[in-house]
Amino acid sequence: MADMMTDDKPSGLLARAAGQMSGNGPTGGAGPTGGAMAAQGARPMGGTDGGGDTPNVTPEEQHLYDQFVSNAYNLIYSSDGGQAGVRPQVLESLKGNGDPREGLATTAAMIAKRVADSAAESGVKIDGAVMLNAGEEVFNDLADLQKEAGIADLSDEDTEAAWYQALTLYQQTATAEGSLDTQEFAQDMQTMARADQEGRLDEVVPGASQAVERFKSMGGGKGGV
Amino acid sequence: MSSVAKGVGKVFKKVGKVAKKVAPYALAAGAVYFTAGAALGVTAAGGWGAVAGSLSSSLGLSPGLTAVVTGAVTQAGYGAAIGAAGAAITGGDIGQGALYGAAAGAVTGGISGAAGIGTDPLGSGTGVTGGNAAPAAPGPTGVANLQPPAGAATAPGSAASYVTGGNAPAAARGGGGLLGPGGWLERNQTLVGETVKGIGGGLLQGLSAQDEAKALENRDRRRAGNYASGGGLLDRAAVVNGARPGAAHPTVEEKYAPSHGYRIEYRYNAETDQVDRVRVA
Repeated sequence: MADMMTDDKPSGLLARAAGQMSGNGPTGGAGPTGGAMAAQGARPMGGTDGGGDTPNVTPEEQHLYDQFVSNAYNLIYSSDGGQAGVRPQVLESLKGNGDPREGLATTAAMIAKRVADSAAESGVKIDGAVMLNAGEEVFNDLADLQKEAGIADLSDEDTEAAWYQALTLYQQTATAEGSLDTQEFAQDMQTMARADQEGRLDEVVPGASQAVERFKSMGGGKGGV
Repeated sequence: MSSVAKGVGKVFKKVGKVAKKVAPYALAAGAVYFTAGAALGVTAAGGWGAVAGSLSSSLGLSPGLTAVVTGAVTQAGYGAAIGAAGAAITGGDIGQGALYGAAAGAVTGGISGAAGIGTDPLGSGTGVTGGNAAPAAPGPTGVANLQPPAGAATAPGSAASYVTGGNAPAAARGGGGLLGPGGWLERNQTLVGETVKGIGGGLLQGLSAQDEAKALENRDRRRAGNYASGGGLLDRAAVVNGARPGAAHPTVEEKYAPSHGYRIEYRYNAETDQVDRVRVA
């Protein structure tokens, strides 16, 4: 699989720590986008990740996104008492007891769930679109962190697997506690199925047809699980 | 359409920069997969192992979508590859094992995970230690454990009981895990001071909590300075904006019997952290 993209932006633990020290990311969070880090050019603030994509979301959505990611970074990175850096518990979690793929998945899911729960506790509903995209950024950051910390440099396949696992953990936990509307998602599936049968699946879920081809080419996707 | 599926087409300005990225098709597949799981209500009570093979009948999925969902299931390691062994390890419920992390290693091929060793990545280091865990056993580091919500933790046969062997008290589950009483939040209030408190009160208010923490820090520093010798608020030299530099106090006339139509007051200026001498009409 060669679809996992990379960019040439330098990054590193020291840069992350520097960002923590500054504690002034673009949204005021203590994440790896802090001022000192930006000054070092380690992780330029913001942007669309070099993909050239133009944001197409509302300011409110972007604001929620920024807050979600920044707060997730607050969980990942410490700025306590000048001992800036990655929380050791997070690094330990990323090790996954010898299974870094599992570690990445569970860590990402846990942090996303923690942020979402906390938001819900304060009466803020995070839109699913924000959750998906913000969760992806956090997941990617953790994958980078896992690599930079020398824990593991997961292959594209393993990274993708961890992504699905993280989604699984989150979805099943949220379903178990009743925070997901099963009926709403069932209707969504019907909408998707109809679109698929009409040959316009990508209109509903951009990139889904690519996923179909991808899995079919892998010889899977035949329902034989 | 739920916003999860709509989220695939949305482009946000990133907060940070990342090198590794989930492939676009994986983002789409993930959205479909997530939606299917939520639609089917896949939880510890069911699991992908029980439903993924009958997606067409259960959800009326088209072949394409079925391919996506089952492909993601397989890719995630919840598919046929784990077979009976995985199901046995997870109590016949693959989803259950995946959900709570204790057997996640087994699900994904790592048998070590079946020991149920878990560490709350943001906890104090006391984590789930598996079915035979002693209540006070310090949790070794290991597979991160996504603790079940408090409600699920008490249900007979629930995943929580699975994780802890069914009989372990709450203390053995790492003090409530992430979500429950005595969980991560309660155990880590002091980790980053006001920031974590802000998280506890609503993480999305964390920014204001940070600001508050910063303000408190500044306040404490000012106070410390005030009581330090050779400077600070109580030092005469601190009065630098007065009409008469070096004079910390107004004259009696200035204060009580102004003959010039105004009186002098000294007001603390939080912006400059100094005392300003101001004329008051």
